[in-house]
Amino acid sequence: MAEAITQCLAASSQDTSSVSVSCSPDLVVLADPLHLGRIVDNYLQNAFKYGEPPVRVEATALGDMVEIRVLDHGLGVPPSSRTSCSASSPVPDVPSMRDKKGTGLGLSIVRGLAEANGGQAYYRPNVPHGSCFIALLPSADGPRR
Amino acid sequence: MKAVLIVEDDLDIQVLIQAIFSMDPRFSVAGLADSAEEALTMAIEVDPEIIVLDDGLKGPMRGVDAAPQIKAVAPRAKIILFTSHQNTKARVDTDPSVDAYLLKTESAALLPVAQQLAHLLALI
Repeated sequence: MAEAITQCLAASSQDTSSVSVSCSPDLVVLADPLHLGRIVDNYLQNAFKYGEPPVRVEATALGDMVEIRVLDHGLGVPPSSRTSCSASSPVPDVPSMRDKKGTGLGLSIVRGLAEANGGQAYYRPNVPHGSCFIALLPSADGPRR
Repeated sequence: MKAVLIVEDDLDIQVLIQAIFSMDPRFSVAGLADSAEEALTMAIEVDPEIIVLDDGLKGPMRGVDAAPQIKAVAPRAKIILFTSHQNTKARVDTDPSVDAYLLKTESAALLPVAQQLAHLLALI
């Protein structure tokens, strides 16, 4: 997983030299490498386009899944666009977060690719401010405690 | 196995469509094209049963304009216009060569729509 993130950053269309990464070296995700790369890159594009630095990529085990988070420190998604009373909402489709010429497709792509790999895509506010876009993908190692 | 032709010029969307069809083993992506002109050639070569057709493509011809020509060379194919442009809906409603219309933001519906069209094919 750590290697895949490093490759994503190197191949990204964005200047990712300032992006920090936190990922356990033995974390392995069960996903198509191309899909994983597109998920991370689309989230990074979104963070650079609509968020503010510092941008951070994190990956941690969560039961039998791996949670990949791309965090920025911008304005975040307005509360009115989030599902109320929910700590984690499906990836939102709001004008301020749209990319791909304003069509919102970048985040739709992430959601579709995550689901095609047996996972999900979520949004969570980054406390105290900013966005945390999450892809939850199956772990190759099975459940961890 | 139902052969699928993907006509899309955005690499990310191409990858997404391939990933979506990989979830159902009854479908096989038999060809990729990024322009209407290439789609016409591929439609003859591949003889697809499902065509996922973008509207804004490389080259001068739009997908919605190419649909009747594609249908003429691949008459058994069911064409799904998969676009980010809502303003094509009215035109598609009156175009018999397009079998289904879907916005790209509704990609979760792509596989169910294709399955439904494939089911119709099996009945014909």
